[in-house]
Amino acid sequence: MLNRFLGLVKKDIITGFRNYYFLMVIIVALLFVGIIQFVIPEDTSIKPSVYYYIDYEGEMKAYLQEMIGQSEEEHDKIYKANSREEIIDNMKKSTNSIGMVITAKQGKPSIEFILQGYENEQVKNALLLSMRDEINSVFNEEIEIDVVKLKQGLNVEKIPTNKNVLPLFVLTEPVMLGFILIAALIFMEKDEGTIKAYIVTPGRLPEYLASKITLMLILGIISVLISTILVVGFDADYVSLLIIVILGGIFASSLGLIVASFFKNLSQAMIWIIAITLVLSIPTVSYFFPSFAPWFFTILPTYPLMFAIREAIFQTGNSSIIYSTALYLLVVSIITYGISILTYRLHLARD
Amino acid sequence: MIRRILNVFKRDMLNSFRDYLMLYMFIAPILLTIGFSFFIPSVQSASLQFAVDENLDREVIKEFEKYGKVEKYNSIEEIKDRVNDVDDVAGITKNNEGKFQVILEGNESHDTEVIPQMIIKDMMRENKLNIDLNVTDIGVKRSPVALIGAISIIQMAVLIGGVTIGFNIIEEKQSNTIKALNVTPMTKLEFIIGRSIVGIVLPIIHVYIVLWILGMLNVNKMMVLVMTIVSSLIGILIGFLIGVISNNQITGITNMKAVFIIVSLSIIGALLLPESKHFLLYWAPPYWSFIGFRDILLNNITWGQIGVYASWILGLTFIIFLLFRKKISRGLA
Repeated sequence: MLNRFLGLVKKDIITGFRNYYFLMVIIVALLFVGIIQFVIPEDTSIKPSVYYYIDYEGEMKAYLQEMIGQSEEEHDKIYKANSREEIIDNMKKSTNSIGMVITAKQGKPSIEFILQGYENEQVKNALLLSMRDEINSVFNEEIEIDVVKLKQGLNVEKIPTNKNVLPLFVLTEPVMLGFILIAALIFMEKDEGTIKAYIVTPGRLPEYLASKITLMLILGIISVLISTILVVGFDADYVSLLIIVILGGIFASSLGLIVASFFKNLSQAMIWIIAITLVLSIPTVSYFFPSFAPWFFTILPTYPLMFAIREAIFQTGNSSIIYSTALYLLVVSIITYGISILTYRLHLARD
Repeated sequence: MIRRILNVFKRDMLNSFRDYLMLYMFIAPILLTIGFSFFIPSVQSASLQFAVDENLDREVIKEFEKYGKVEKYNSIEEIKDRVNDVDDVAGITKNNEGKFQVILEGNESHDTEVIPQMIIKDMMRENKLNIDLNVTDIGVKRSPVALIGAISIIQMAVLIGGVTIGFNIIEEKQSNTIKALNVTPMTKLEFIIGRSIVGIVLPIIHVYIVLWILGMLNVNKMMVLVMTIVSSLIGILIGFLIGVISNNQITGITNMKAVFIIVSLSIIGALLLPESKHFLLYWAPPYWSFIGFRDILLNNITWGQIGVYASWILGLTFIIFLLFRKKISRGLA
C-alpha cells in the first residue's frame, strides 16, 4: 500500500513539474517577497489622519499645544490647519480622518471633534473619554489601576507593517494554494480519463486523493520556506510553522477536492472557488482589527489559522494558540478528507 | 459582420447556459453581496470588547456598555478563559481589596489595553475638570468598510466576466475549436468583440444589483454606468491575456493569481498610501476604477473627474492591448 502511494506521489510530482506547478509556486512566492521588501512601506498605518485648528488664546493654550505636540510624536498623521473650513475640506478627501477645533467659550477652551458621521456612539464616547482622561490626568492626581497580564513576558514589540503582511501571504498562498490547484489537477485527470483508468486497478481512492494532497503540501512547504526565510530569515519557529501549514494545507486541498467533485470542468468550478476563497479570507479583517471578531469570522478555520501562523513567524511566547489551532485543524482536515473520499465515491459511481 | 459577432455571443451564451456557467457567474457576486450586507451592521456596532464580571454594579456594567460590546461572566476563571481567546478582549473585575482590576492577555492592541483603564479612572475621579467637549460630523453616513466592501464586490463582478472569457478561450484552444473558427470567414476582431459582449453586459447588471442590495443606489446612476463600462474593459483585456498566454488551465490559474495580486495591490495601495504617494499607482487601471467608484459612492465627483479617470483607464488599457497585440493575435491563431 505504501509503495502504491509513493508511486502515485511520484507520478503527481512529475505531472506537477511538467505543468509548471513548481515554477509557478516559486515565482508567486518571490513576487510576494519583492512586494513586502520593496513596495509596502515599513510604517504604513491605518490610524485616521487628524486635522486640528486652535483658535484659543487663554491660559491653557500652552498646555493644549504641548499635548498636541506629544501626540504628533507618537502618531505621524497629525496635521495643523488654518481654519475649520480647511479641516472639513481635507476630511472630505479622506474618509479615514477626523478633525479637532479648539475655540474659546466664556474664557474656557471648548473642544469640538469633527467626525465623518458613520462612527457609532461607542467610538464617539471613547474619543471624548480619552480627551477627558488626557486633560484630567494633568490637573488631578494620577489614579493607579490594577492591571493583570495573564501571559507575562509576551514579546509584543511592534512588527513592521510590511513584514506583518507575511502571515496573510502564508495563509493565502502556501496554505490555500491547494484549494484551487488541486481542482485544476483533478479536472486535467478527468479530461484525460486517468481517474477512470485508476479505479480499475487495485489502487484505492483514498490513496489517489492523498497523493494529490501530498503534492499540494510539498508545494506549500516550498512556498512557505522561500517566503518566510527571505522575509524574516531563520528567526521563525519553523517546526510549528510547517505543522500549521501542512494541516491547513490538508484542509484546503480536501476542500478543493470536495468543490471540484461537483463540477464538470474548471470554468464552472472557478467562480465557486473564487467565491469560497473570498469567504475564507474575510477573517483577515480581524488581523488588522483584533477587537473586531464577530462569530461568523471565528467559525471559519482561517481565523485561528492566521493568528497561529503569525505566532509561529513572530514568536511572542504565546504557544498555546499554535497547539490549539493544530489540534483544531487536525480534526477539521480529517473531516474534510473523509468527506472528499465520500463525494468521489458517489460521483465516480454516478459517472 | 454584426451577425457574425452576435453568433459568437449567441454560441457563448448557449454554451454557458448548458453548463450552468452563466447562472453561476450571475449569482456568485449577488450571493456575496447578500452575505456582505449581513456583515455590515456588525462592523458598525462594537469596536471594543469587554469580558465583565457580572457581580459588578449594574451602573459599572452600563458604563462599559457605552464604549464597546460587553460579555458577562460569573467567575474570574471564565473571564480569564475569555481573555485568553485569540481576539482582543479586556477582562474587568474587582480584586481581593475590592478595587477594580483589568485583566489582559498581554498582546492586546493599544486601545484594548488603555481604554478600560480610562473608563475606570473616569468613574473614580471626583473633581473632574470641566471642559466643553462636543462632537459634530460632516454627514458621511456610509462607513469605509461598507464602501470598500461594495467596491471590492463590484471589482470582482467586473473581473469574473473577464476570467470566464479567459478560461473559455483556454478550453477552446485545448479542444481545437479556435482552429476550426480560423478557417471560417470570421475575423479575429469579430471573435474578440463577440466574446467581449458578455464581459460588459454582465458587470452592468451586477453593479446595479449590488448597489441596490447594499442600499447604495442614491448615487449618480449615469456615472455608475460609464465607470462600469470602462472598468469592464479592464476585465475583458485581462481575460483575453489570461486566455492567450496560458497553454492550459494550470498556467491560466497562475496568470490569474498574478493578475489578482496586482489588482488587490492597487486597491490596498489606494487605501493605505497617503494621497501624496498615489502617483505610484497611476500605472494600474484597477486603481482608477477603484477611486472612480469610491468617489461616485461618496457623491464626491464631477463629470470632469469621471472623464479624467475614464481616460486613464481607456488609455492604459489601450497601451496594454497594443503591447500584447501580437501575442493576442498569435494566441488566437
